[in-house]
Amino acid sequence: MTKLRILHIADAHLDTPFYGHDKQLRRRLRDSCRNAFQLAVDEAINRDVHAVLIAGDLFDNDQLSFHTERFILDQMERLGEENIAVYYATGNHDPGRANYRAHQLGWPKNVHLFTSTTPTTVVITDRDDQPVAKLTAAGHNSVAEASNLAANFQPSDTNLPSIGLLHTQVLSASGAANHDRYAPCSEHDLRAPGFDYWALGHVHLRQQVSEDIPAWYAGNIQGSNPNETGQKGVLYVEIEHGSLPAVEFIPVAPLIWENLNIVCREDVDDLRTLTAFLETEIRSRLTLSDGKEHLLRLELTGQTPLADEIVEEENLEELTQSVKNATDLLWLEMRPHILVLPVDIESYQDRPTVLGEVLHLLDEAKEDNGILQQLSPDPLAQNSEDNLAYLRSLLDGADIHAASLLVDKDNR
Amino acid sequence: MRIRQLDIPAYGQLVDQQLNDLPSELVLIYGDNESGKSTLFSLLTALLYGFYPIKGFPYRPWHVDRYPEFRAAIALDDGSEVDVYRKLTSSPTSTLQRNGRTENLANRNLPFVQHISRQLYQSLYALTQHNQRALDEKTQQEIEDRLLGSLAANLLRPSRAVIDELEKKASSLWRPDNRGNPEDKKLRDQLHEAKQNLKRIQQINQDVRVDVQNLASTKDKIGKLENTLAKLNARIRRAEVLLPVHDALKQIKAWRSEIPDEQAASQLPDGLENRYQMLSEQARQTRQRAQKLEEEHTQCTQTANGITERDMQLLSVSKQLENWLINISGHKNEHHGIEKLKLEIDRHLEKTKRITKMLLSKPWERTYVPKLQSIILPNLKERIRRFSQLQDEISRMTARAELLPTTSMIGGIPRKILWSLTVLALSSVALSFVLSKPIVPAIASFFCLCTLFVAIFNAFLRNQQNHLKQENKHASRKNAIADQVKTEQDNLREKIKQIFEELPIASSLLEHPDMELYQNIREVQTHLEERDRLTTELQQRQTKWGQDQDNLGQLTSNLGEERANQAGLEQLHTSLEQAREHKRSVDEAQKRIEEIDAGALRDAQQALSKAQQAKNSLITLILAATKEHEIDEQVLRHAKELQDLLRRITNAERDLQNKHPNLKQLKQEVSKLDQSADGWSLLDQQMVEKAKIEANHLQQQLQQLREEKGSLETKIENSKGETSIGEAQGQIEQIEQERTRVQTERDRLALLASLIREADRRFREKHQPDVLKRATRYLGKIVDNYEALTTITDSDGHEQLVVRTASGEFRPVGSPLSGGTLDQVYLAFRLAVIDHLDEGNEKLPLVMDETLINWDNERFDRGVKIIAEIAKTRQVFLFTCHRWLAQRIAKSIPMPLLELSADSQYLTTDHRRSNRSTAANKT
Repeated sequence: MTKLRILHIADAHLDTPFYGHDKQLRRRLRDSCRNAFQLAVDEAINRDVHAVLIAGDLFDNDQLSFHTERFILDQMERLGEENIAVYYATGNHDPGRANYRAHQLGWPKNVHLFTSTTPTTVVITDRDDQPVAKLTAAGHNSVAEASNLAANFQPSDTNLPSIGLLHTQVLSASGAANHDRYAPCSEHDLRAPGFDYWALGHVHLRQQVSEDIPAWYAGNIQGSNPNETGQKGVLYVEIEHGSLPAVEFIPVAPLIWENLNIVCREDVDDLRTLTAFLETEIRSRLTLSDGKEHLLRLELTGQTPLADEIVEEENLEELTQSVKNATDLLWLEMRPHILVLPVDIESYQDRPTVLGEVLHLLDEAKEDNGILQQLSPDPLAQNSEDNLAYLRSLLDGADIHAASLLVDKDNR
Repeated sequence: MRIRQLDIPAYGQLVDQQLNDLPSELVLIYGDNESGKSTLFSLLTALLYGFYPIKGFPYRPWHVDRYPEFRAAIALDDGSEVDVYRKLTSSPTSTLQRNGRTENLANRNLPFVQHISRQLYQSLYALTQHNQRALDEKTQQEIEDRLLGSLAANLLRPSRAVIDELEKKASSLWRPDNRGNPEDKKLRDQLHEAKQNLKRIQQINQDVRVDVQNLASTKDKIGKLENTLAKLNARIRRAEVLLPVHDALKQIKAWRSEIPDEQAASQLPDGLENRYQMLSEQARQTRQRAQKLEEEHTQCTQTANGITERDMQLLSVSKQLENWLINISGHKNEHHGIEKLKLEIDRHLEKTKRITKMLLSKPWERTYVPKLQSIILPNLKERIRRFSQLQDEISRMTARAELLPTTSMIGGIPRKILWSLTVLALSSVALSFVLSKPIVPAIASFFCLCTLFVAIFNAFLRNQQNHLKQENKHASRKNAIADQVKTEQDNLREKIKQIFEELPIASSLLEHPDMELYQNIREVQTHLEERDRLTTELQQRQTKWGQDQDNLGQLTSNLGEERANQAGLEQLHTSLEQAREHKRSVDEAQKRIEEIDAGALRDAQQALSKAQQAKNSLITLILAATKEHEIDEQVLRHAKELQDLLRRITNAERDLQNKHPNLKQLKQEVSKLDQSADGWSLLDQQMVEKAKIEANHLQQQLQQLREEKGSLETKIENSKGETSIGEAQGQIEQIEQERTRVQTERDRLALLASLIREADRRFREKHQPDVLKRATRYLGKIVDNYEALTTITDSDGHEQLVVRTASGEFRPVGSPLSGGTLDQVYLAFRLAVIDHLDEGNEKLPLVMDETLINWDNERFDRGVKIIAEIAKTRQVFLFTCHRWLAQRIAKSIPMPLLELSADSQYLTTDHRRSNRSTAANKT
């Protein structure tokens, strides 16, 4: 029996909002997103897959530009020219109801669209029209699909490899909390149909949902902001009925986001040494020599004799540029956050000083909501659903910050 | 801590000062103004906290060029002792020695004063007459803040300053009101702008989609319009293109029907009539040419036979004749030359005869010639020359013999004369010795000289005589030789005569032969030789000339000319020229005959035949094309008409082909239309014009649509460069994230400010009572009418420092309290704060400068008591410039008095001296 070969793409988010301070960076990200998708299509063609599965959020309905529409259709046509079928289940960003773009686009014949929330099963065939797998898929009809779609998938009754295709939020998945809760499901829901492979979308962090379930999030193909770090790409899957799928990650994202927090050291006391220190830290913690271009958001914290100098805008810019040049980063954003002059905070604990009192009060505030509420500025700039949690989060690093402010620089 | 000893090499105005064994409790220092009290206080501060400020340090030694430097021994509260050394060079050095170890301090604080900052020490631990009273509101507030708030902590900044800083920073990020221009407000504006931009981009996208739809619609319209236009154009084309084709084809067909045999007609050559005429003329001319050639042949044959034998004879010797014509004048000249030569020979002979006439004694005969020529001239010349020499010798000898003198002509002086003169001379000499007369020596000298002269002359004469004798001997010998010479001369003469033996030479010439004879003989021989040479030449030239003359005669006679001269030759040359003319004519005639024979005639005949054939062929074609049997003018015209028809057909077809490359297709279309019922129904011109107008209109519409299409395509293409919605949305999210960050940071800072404020409040609450209690105790020891020093919270919620009177009344520390009372209140408060700050730490020395100066006696005594009490727990340095004050304190508290004077920079103020001073004061 022919081994099924599929390419699993999810969350391409073409024309998604791209993070970036400047227009040029946003443009690069937009292009890289397209390039990533084009590379994925290249891979599908080169590996001669039976089908390409798109697990929703191919694009962002509200942001989809005409030219990206053309791009998507062109890529689908490329696959069609190679006789590769595309199975596309819509997600919350590209729902399939009549008035949405996914429904309106003039898809080529090789594209099978799943817009209904009711699971539909189709047979995937090879070039000789011989069936090689059965695919069950459901799509999002609207932008806020709240029902559990996975629960409606029926067990497979075929000797062919069976595959599920769905844009869903598996509640137990890593990073699921960072995403809106659409079409939520549990691991049990995925285990029930006994599929040989679940091609999932929605959570941008690539992962197998659980070790005992062949359900995979491919993750998005290009990180769109500093929080979506690391390599991004698609999954190439080979499946034999009854066997575990062989899943290979293919990185396609040309740009890699990275997010680092570096705690400055007290013995680094000049900007040149600091540059070298940061370069060493970045190189040791990131893999920069992977042929990709890297974008890094770097948060500098801790106690350093250079605290006052670093926060100077001019110095910060120079430092950023030096580190960027030294590490060949495409983009670097350096943010000092509670970066203070060295202070021996321990020596102030339980001492009859205002700082001692501050430290004591801080401990109380962390434990006592009443005190925290009492200390809360009125009004707050940020309105949060959980004000206390928000306020508590603001206390992180407050001890060091308060100490650095209260202790006279001349008497350190 | 207590400072036990100070060693001051240089510090401000203090130079090489030593303060040993300082009291551990109260150090009372008396000194006038500018005596160094402030310097000493500065030194104490520098001892504890290092030099400050390093740059522009005010206490560099005033009078010596040295670095500020001092050393101190300090006893700490725990009983241990340390030594501190500080020196302010370009790089300050400080060391701390304790427990046998030396610690490098650089310019840092002493480790056991860390709990009190320099600033705090200077403001709090140094009490002067001026800083303890008359505080204004601001200073009062500051004192309250510093003493009761942040400054009460180790090394801390005032809480209020930190809180202000945080709140200011928080406000720069976000404000609840709409005032100022905080970061958040800027971001809000940016967000608004970005959202506007997003709307614009969304609109552009919407427009693009509309444009794409419009483009598709336009393309569709263009397609339809193109279709309609194509049909219409086809109809117009049919009317405009096919109809002319149709007509042309029809005409061609009509023309063809008039041609009996198109194939034959097509073979008719162009310019038929001309060609026919030309061929006829060509045949006629060719025939005439052939006849002419035959006549010419005959004529040439006659010419070729016209040359005579004489012509041939002349031509055969033409070269000789021409040579003779050239050389005849030379021949004549040669004849004249021969005659001249003869005359020359005769002339030489005449010359010979003339010379020999002088030599010969007989008349000239021809037989003399060989004899004269046989004389060998060199022999003759040699003999004559020798003869002449001998003749000269003989003459010379003869002349000398006549001139030679005899020996008798030369004789000597007689010896007697010579002897007499000698005797006379000797006698004179003798007499001169004998006689003393002066004349005698002179005479003697005269005779001596005469004798000497005569003797010399006699010697010369005898020599000449000997010489002549010798000459005479030679002359005798020469005469003998002369005889021999004459004999030889005679022999020579004979020999010369022998030379001329057969010639009758004049005897006189032979007796005295000389060189002239020789010259004449030689000249004769020369003329004879020349005559012989010329004679030989004459013979040769005569022979040659005779031969030439014979040849000429032979030539002319052969040619029948009797005159063997120039005239004859010229006559013959004329005949020769005529013969040559004849020969040329014959040659030309023969050449022409050869040409005619070689092909000219045949060519002409062949050309004639060809012309005839061509004409016949043409006639055949014409007859075939016209279907006639005989050629005549009418037939020829008919043929030409056929040819014109055919040409018209060809031209018409060619035009059609040129106009319509697809003629074949058109023909088919025409053919179809011909067969269809209404194929040519649109032939109405008006309809065609209408159709054209309609097509033009459609074309314009089409052009407009195409422009629209191009415009839409450009617009769509240009929109690719526009920012995408995603990018714009990204910018919005970026700004929103930034806003979140800014707001969070603001909240964080505000929360931190709130936290520090609360902590500060708590600290005050916790620690103020202790300070106030201590202050109340101190105040109670100074005054009676105030019970307590405390704080109250006013209506605005601010805490205020007050004193409570014995009656329970609170009075704010400030006016209306008297200045003296304020001094005392603040002293009490300050001492309380110092005690509070030192609590649990090293107690730092207190410095008081004229603190009690304005106090009344009662309070003064109480103040001294308090100082004495304080001095028990910390060392107190008390400065005063009033001796009475110093004495009064010293009286109250037994202690040594250290005295400074205005010039004390050179004065060692030590304990012993102080002791002495103290003792004196006590006394």
